[in-house]
This record gives sequence, structure tokens and C-alpha cells, in this order.
Amino acid sequence: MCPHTSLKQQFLKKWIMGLQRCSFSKKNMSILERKKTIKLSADIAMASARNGTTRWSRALISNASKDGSDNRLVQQILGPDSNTPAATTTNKAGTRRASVCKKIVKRSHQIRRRRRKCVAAAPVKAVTSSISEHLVRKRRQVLKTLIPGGEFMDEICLIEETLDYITSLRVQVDVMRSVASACFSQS
Amino acid sequence: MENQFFLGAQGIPPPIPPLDFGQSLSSAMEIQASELNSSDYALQFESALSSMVSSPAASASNVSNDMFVFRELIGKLGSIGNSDDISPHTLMASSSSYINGNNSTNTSCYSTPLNSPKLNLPVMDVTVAEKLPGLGKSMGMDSSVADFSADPGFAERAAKFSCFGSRSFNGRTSQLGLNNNFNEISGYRSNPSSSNGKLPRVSSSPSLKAMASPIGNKSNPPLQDRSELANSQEESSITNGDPGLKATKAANSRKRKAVPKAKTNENSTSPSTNAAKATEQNKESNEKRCKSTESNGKQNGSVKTEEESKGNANTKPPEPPKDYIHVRARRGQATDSHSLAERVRREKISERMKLLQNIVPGCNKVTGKALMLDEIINYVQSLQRQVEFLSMKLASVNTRLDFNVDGLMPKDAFQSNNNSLTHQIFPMDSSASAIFGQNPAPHGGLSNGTMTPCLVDPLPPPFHQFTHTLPTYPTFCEGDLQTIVEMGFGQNQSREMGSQPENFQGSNQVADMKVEL
Repeated sequence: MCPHTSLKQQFLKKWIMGLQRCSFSKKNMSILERKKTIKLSADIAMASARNGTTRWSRALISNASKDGSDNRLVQQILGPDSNTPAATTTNKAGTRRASVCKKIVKRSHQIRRRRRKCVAAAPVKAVTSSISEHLVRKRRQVLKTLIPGGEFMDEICLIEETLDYITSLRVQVDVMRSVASACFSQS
Repeated sequence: MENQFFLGAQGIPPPIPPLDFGQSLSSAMEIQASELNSSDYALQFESALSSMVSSPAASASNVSNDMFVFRELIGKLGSIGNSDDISPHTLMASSSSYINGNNSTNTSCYSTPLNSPKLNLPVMDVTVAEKLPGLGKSMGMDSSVADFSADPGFAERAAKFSCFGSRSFNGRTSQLGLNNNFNEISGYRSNPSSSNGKLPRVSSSPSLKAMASPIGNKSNPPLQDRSELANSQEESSITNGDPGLKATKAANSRKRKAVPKAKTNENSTSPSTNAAKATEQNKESNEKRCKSTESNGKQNGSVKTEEESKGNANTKPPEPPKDYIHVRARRGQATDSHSLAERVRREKISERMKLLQNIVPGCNKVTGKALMLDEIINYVQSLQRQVEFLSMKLASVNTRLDFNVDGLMPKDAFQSNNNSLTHQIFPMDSSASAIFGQNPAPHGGLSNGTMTPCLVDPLPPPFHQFTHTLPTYPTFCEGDLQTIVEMGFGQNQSREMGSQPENFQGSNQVADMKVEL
């Protein structure tokens, strides 16, 4: 995975930093708590590796910051990068507003298009196209739930964010897998 | 913010394969920029109008030129806002009478624009004519000054229009004519000093459509009605444009739809042959113009692909607008702006889906959006599940060993760190040896370069010292990382395991492993 080397290194470094900081706080954690901590720190590390250039990373960090219990953790992890949460919240607000307006316009467009189709298109064609549209829309909804911050993105943006998110997830999985294998190999 | 994403995305480090991702991002950025630029629909029409201004120059003085500009602007504005609410029919009816009444002047207007380089103008003239029937009736064509002053909102609207356009006009410097337009229009703004009193009324009313009917009932000349209507339409269009790019595009596409509609209506109502001919030609040119302005700068790539169809499509209008990038409708495809916009959007989406196909395994055989989205969803879900599972696995590692992180803090823990480092490097040997790099030194140096600065700053002071204690090992930071990982999981390995020479080898190997990652 040569192209991702620097990304992996970045992620690993940040993750370890985050782990360090979280682990200082508690002595006895249950396994689930630990898992949560590990996962969260990994996610935050992944998101911060993007430096706020992608929407999903910003959304992920802001979501984590919003959650009260995780907030401390996030603050610890992102200690030096204190500007990031603020930026993410403002970005989120702005994007939400814009995307809500976009959604309204989109919906109105869809309604118009449907009306036009009903009038203009042949009935068979309309049915099949509407079915396929329906399917695609369903899947798009699912994808939006998967990608952090995806509900506020339009289709084009969603696909790009998916691209980026997939590469980041891959990096995350690879690094975690290698670390886990290293841990387990010694025992 | 989308711009932000794209601009930032360009700065993503090269590790991501630049061939696919970077290209897509750059193209996405272009498209985004072009989308933003295409929203200044108004500007293109303004440029068209400006050239149209030059056309009736023979018939009138400078002021009348200005008046024509304004008329055209108003007409455009009226047509822009004329999408659904205000029926063009009333305007058509009045415009037909106007046209009939001022046939000679109209023909003069119509004939010259056809020769103008900017072809959209003939359309403008018609729209202007239809939108300002009262103008001709009340004022008469020769009293250009009166007309000019009678349309108080012209300059205001023109100025607003230019502002509206300039807001979305992000560096669209290729359209040279527009700059001239800006100057003209800004100059016009200062002109109607006589009608200052009316300007506030025109500009201050947000819901001018509602006002339109009461305004119509007033004793003001119908010109005022038109101006109010046009202004309201313009305002509504501007407010529509505010929420976002999509809204603007939607509004634009709606306006463009209205323009051909208006043309057809006018064709039906205007009996004069000259006007009919002109409108026919205008309509065609307008449609083409619509396409070009709509997709003006949306996708340069698509323009190139459609160059060949251009010749086929561009039969009747003599000259296409030269300083615009137009996306022509392909042969046998619908030419209205809606479908064009749809097509561009679909192309963008399919472009990105192709990129995704390369990334997501197993997507190559699948065709169709729904199935591909299915695959993508499955892949993302599986990756997320893997992350969960691995984090759980790593958490379980902790339970087996002491989560003794406080041991890291005190200084005397460094010795333990040292020893544990020697040991902890060891397990990496087994895994790293498989991927052991042939040249540890350069790799290590490389990784050292990348990692050391990062390590030094965020590490708490204890680790500072830790790194300083072993400066001679270039790959030490890698080993340090590994140590931290192990420490983080609270491993207190037995210290008797590590042997010194192996440590250094091990650290090299670790560095290599990291690099191999």
C-alpha cells in the first residue's frame, strides 16, 4: 500500500497520541470502554489526518465533540488542535443551512420532474424509471446514514466523500490489523 | 463550503493515487467553479444586451442606446422572474399591440441584432418589446429620454442584476463583454436622478408580485407596472439565488424555460411577419443561447466531446456566442435547459461512480447505479465492522495485560521503557521480518524524518527524554512508536528477553515495517 504510507504513518502517530492521552485518565476500564476509547481515538485520528478538508472528517469530529461523554476524550485528543472543533461546528451549521435549502429546492425539483414525467412519459417507462429511481434513492439514503455527516450532502458530494471515507477506513483497518497482529504475536 | 472542500481536497497529499483521485478532484473543482460561474446567467444576458445596445445605435442617440439596454435588461429580468407566477400572456397581448404599433422601429431593432456577434440579443429585443408595451404606448419610441426616465427601476435593477451576477461571477474573466456591461450598468445607475423617489419603492418591496396587481390598478403608466413586475421578478430571482447554487441553477433553468415559452406565445400572437420571422430566429438562437448560457462553463470536457454535434445543431443561427463555453445538446436529444442540466449532473455522478468502481473491489462487473451503490454500501459497512472488531480485539489485549500507563509518566519508568522497548521490538521482528525491507537505512531515515518532529512536540516530557537518550538510532522513533503502542496497551513485558544488537536490528525492522505500511 505504498501510496498510503504517509497517511498510515500520520494516522498511527495521531492514534497513539490519542491513546496516550485517553489512557492517562482512567485506570480501570471495562473492556467495552476500552474498545470504545480505542475506536474513538482511531476515528478521531483518522478524521484529523484529513485536516478538515473533507466533510466527513469534520462531521465526525463535531459529532464526537457534541456527545458529552466523549467530549472530554475528544478534547484531550485534539488538545493542540483546538481550532478544529470550532471550525467543524461552524462548518456544520453553515453546511446544514445550505443543505436544508438545497434539499427544499431539490424536493421541489423532484416533484416537478415527477409531474412532468407523469404527463409526458409513457406509462410503462414512467413506472420502470420510477422504480429504479426509488431503488437508487433508497440506497442513497442508506449511504448517507453510513457516511458521517452524509445527510447534509448532495449526491455528487456524497460520492466524493464516500471515496475519501473508504480510503481512510482502509488505512485505519490496515494499521489496526497490523498493530493487533503485533500485539498478539508476542503472546 | 463545497468550494472549500474542493480546494482543500486539492491539497490532499499525494499518497492517494493522483491519477484517479486527484484528477477527479481537479475536475470536480473545475466543475464546481464552472457551476458557480454558470449561475451568472444574468451576466451573459447582459453581455448580449450590451451588444444589442450597439445595434440600434443608428436609429437613436446614446441615451436611446442606454434605454435599449435597459429595456432589454428589463425584458430579461421580466422573463427571468416570469417563470410561473406572472402569466406572460397579458404581457404578450400588450406586447403584440406594441409591436404592431411600432413595427418600423422594431424591425430596425430586430434586423441589426441578427448581425451582431452576440446572438442572444434578438431574443432580448423581443422580450423587451413584449415586456414593455406600455413603454411604446405611453412614451413613443423617439422620446428615448422620457422612456429612460420613465423606467425608474431600470438602473436600479440593472445594478442589482449586475450585483447578482457578480456575486456568482467568480473570476469568469473570459467573458470580456461582461466587464463592459458592468461599467455600462453601473454608469446607468447614477442616471435616473429624476426618478429617485420611485426607486425606493421599487427596491424596497420584497413581495412585489403581490404588489403588482395593486400597482397595476394605479394610475401610473403601464410602464411602471412592468417595471414593478420585472423588479419583483428580479428580486424573487435574486432571493431565489441566495440560498444556494442549486437554487440559482434551478431558478435559472426555470427562467430559461420561460423564455422560450414566451417566445412561442409571442409567435402565436404577433401577426407581423417581420416580428414572426425575427422571433422564430430569435427562438432558435435563444434555445441555443439558453443551452450555452445554462451550461456555460459547466464542463469543458463535454464541450469538446460535443464539438462534432455542434456543426449539426448549429444550422440556422449564423454565429454562436464566441466567448462562452456551451454545451450543445447532442443529436436527437432534448434541448431544453432542464434536460441539459440533468445531463451534466448525471455525467458528473457517473464520473465519480467510475472512480468508486476502481476503489471498491468487485464493482467492475456491476453496472447500474443501484447495484453499484449496493456494493459500495456493503463495502463501507464491512470496513466499519472491521474497525469495530479490531478495536475490540485491541481492547481485549489490554485485559490480558496490565493497563499500566501511569508507569510511563515518571522518569524511572524510562528504564523500564528502555527495557520494554528492547523486548517490544522483538515481537515486531517476527512480523516485520516477513516484510523486512532491504535497505533499512534510507527508509528509516525517511520515516525518521517524518516521524521525529511529530514525536518530539506532542510527546509529554518523559518521552522527550526517552527519545533523547537514544539519539544514535535513526529508526528509534519508529521503535518508540511501537513502544508507545505497547505501553498504551499496558504491556509490561518481561525484560530479560531483548538482546541489544537485536534491538537495533529490530528497530530498523520496525521502521521498515512502518514504511512498508
